[in-house]
Amino acid sequence: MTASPRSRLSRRALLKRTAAVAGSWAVPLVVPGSVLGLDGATAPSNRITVGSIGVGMMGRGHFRLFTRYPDVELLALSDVDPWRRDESTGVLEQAYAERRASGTAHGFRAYSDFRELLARDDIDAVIVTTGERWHPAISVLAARAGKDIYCEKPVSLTIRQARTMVETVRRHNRVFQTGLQQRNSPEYRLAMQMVHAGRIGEVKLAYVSTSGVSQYENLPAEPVPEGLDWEMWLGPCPWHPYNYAYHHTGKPQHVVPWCRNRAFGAGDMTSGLVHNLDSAHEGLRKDGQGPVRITPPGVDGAPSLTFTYADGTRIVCSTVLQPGAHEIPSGWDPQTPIKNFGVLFVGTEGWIHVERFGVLNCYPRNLLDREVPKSHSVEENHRDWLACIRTRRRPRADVAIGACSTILAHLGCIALWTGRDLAWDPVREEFQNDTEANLLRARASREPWSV
Amino acid sequence: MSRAHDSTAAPASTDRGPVRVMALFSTSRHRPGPSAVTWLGAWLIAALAVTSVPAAVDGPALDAAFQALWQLEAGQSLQPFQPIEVAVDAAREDAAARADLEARLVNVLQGDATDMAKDYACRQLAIVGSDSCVPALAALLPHARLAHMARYALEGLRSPASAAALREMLGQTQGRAQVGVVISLGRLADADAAVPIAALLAQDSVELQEAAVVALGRIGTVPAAEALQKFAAEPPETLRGAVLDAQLAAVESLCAQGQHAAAVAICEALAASDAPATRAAALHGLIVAKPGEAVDLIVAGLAADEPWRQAVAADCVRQLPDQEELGALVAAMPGLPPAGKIAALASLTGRGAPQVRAAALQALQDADAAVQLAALEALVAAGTAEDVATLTALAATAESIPVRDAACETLRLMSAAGTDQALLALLTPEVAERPLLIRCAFARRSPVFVPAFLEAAAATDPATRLAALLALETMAGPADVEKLVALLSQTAPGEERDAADRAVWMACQQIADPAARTAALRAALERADAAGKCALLPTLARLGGPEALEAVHAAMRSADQSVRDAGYRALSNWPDDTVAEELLEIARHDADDAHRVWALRAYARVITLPSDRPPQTTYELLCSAMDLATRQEDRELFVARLAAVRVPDALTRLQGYLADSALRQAAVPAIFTLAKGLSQSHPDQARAALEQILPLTEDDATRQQIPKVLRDIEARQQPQQ
Repeated sequence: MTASPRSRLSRRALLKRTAAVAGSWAVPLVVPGSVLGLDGATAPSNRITVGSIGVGMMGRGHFRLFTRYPDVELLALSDVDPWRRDESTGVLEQAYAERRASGTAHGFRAYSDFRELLARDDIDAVIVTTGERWHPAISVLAARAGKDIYCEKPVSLTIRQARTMVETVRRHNRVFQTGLQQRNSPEYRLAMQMVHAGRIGEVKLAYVSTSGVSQYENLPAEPVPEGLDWEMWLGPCPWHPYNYAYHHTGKPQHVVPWCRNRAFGAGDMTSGLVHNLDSAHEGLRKDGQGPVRITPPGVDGAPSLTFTYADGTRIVCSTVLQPGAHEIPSGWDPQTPIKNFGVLFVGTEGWIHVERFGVLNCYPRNLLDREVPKSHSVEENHRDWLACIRTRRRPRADVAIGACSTILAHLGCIALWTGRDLAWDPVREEFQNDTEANLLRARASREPWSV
Repeated sequence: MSRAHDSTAAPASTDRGPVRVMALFSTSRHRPGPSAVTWLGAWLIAALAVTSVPAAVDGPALDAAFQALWQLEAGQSLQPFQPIEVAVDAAREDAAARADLEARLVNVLQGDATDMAKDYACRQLAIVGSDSCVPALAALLPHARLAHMARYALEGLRSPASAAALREMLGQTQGRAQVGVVISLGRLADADAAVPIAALLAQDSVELQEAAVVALGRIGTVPAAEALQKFAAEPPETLRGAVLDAQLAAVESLCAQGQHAAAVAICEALAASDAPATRAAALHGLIVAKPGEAVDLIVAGLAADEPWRQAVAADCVRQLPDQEELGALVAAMPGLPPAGKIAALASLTGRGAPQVRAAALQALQDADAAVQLAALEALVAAGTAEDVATLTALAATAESIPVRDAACETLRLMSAAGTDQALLALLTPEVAERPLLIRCAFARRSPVFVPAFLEAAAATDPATRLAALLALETMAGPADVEKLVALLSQTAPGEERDAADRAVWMACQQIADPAARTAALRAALERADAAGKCALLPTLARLGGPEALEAVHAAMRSADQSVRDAGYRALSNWPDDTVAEELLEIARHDADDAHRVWALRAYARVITLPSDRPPQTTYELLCSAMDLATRQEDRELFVARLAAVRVPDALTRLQGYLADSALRQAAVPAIFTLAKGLSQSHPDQARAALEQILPLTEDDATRQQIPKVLRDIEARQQPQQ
């Protein structure tokens, strides 16, 4: 099967197209046989052409990995920061030196405005790693433009945007993978198999670590660095003056610095804890569902943020379980923290604790029936996406999964921001009898951005 | 990662008011302005209000906050406005308080407050506002910096008055402001706005046209859809994707309104497109718009040659409810080509519906192994206990090895009630492929299989016995020790005895009382003949403890040579250094060469186990004993064990062996291990040793790691910035 009709290029179309692109480096005048796939090299017609939008700390990591995939050709990137554009272009030039020499790379271009990248019809798929303020608009525009999408988590800044993304991706039959790589991480895959196979009996409780939410900030104006398109950096968000704390001009110093300000992000709850929540959802078989109640700590006896489902299942956020406050399963040492995006599943007949870097413990200890395989989970997530682009199937962290887990994280944020025990209708996606909470399902977005 | 505070844990005390009070605005990087004193005063009042009045705000604090709000500028702390937030929160159940706050906030909007103040006021009005604030909000719609927040508040009201105000402003705004109004009317799905918005499609602004297209799609009424249809005939090139998306959104809205005919008309028009992506989208829309024909459309798609058609159909399979539609699809599946069957099964995987089971069982009969593999994956969730026999038969006899493996995997992962019992019922002595069934049962890690494993461990077939013992190694518990010990005493040396030994040892380790841990083994030892004693002694010794030691000593005094040897071997298996002196004594003075060698090697092992003994003492004991080693392999063992003694003298001694051609090969990896261990406490000596072995090491992994350790040493020695 092909990725999309456009990924099968004729030699004529290939030459015409590459000639039209003013790349960072020139296109060879003579096309060797390998371009036609005649020498055993991956034929261009089988390569998935990719554009990368946003090359900050997270985006650079993805970009570098994609330069290594022989069945992918990066054709473009976009970033509002010129240093980042130049740096990643340099990385690509080095990585593609051999391809350039053999004439199997066909030009590369860096843009400031992602819309120029999306307008190119020779790009099959895009990586969206901009920050959540931009994820929905870019993903929706990419889907409308017929691109498949790899989007970092959280997929959106609001609940409403997440739903719009699912609807749009489905309408256009796009392959969308969320950067929730634990779905493709071997230790988590094995843990989910064990939970789903009933190794620890019925499971209606999962613990994940705690996390914080952002607050509104009003930092002073600083001069906008030369070349940085601050208006486009802000995009749909309410206008704020530039401040280095939001965007580290040049080399990024933190993964998601903007997240500190509620205007641009919801904090660790959506940028980090969404991974744990996603894994908890998968293990508890709550994909596509949602809680009916979200209780902040200290309210109605809840020791920590708690999501409760219609069947009584709970996800409880607590890095360390407190005797007397939390339900501590037999065989679990309360001193053990739940860290590294981990989850503790508690069943009627035991527990399973999974964390990144191959941590998979269980009780009884003889439940583990194989060694934890080792692999690069982000790369696995990429490979799942690329395979699905070819088969047109849904990847493991499909848009509906990404939206569901992101919405769960947003529900936690809203409960913490309002400080109230919230009743949620997961089908209608609305809070019951809480105007403020319902209002927080969306945000003000500047014109002309409509997602 | 964000440095936002952790607020998911309960506060240390709960008498400090509502949780929201904890979420104070950040003031980091705040630079006090010229009016810092004023701000400080307001902040103090606000702080007092927050800490002393948890659910309400007194008048002066609120007055001060509102007074300060008017001058809000970039860079100022948001802390002083906390009373407004608290008041807004407290007013949820108090209509009079809401009206008061609304009036104050409207006052800010209508006065000469800063843009930031008005932005803040809009955000609060979104929570406490009513139709009374609509005119003030609408007045901000032409304002470039404030329109979006005013629209947010108006959208939040969701009242006829707010929609009417937006419609009215449609004609009174221009440029981006007008674009914003169109977006808001679309978000409200305001049917009355369809016609005026449709009129904007004729405007010469792509931005406005795009907003209108999106809004019409969201409104999704018949007039809106008609306007889109007309515009879709000749849209600007850059808006083709937006128009298609809006049309498909309108299809969904029309279906929700029961306007299926209009929805179908749109999809059929789109299906005539030349672009496969548009045709694919049209098929998706058509399946939604024709619920009565959905299964037929899906089946036709699955049977189609075009990959895009098959992909859309397969994806729509996921949406079919567990009702008649699913049954109809299953009934049609035998007629599909293999690719269609595989695609359908992949979309059904994960669902536990009986129809999915029927489809999968049917597909297991397919001649194509790929179809069978897809069916086996679907059976993980959909299979029942009744399918266990089919699956075990496939696991044992399928022609395709991947199918056999997949059947085992399905048996491993199935969670259906009664699966274990069904598998257990098949585990009879007469069953063919009993070892395979044991492995399948073992993979499920259920204790219900343990009695069957114990029985199988005494079977006449060696493969069955071994499979059962390997399973018991993991699954047996204290209650099974006696039976396991009996099995162990009857095994012949080899992999079966090794497995039985591990099974007994693992089961005994689970007994908390040290004396009780070896009781069954000791009792069996007393009853056993010479061969049985030889089988039991190594296991007993590896468990340790004074009672076991007594039994081992008794064996060492046995008149039977084989038992005596087994006793000495057992002592050499001892798990700790409590027998170190005895081992050294044997190594020095025993008349039997073999006993001396076993004891010496055991001594090198136990003396270097972690202990409270000073490492330097351990080093000296080890060196002293090394003099007794005369055989090459024993000297090499001592060299290797030196790596476990973290003292510089051990490293020096090891470096000395580099000049000894007989021991150099053993010394290099030991030096690497020890130097790495000493790299923090004795960096200079460690570095010198690592540099010395770098050209000598033959192991690739070690050669790669040495430079890394050297870099770490160097990094630690550089002055910290």
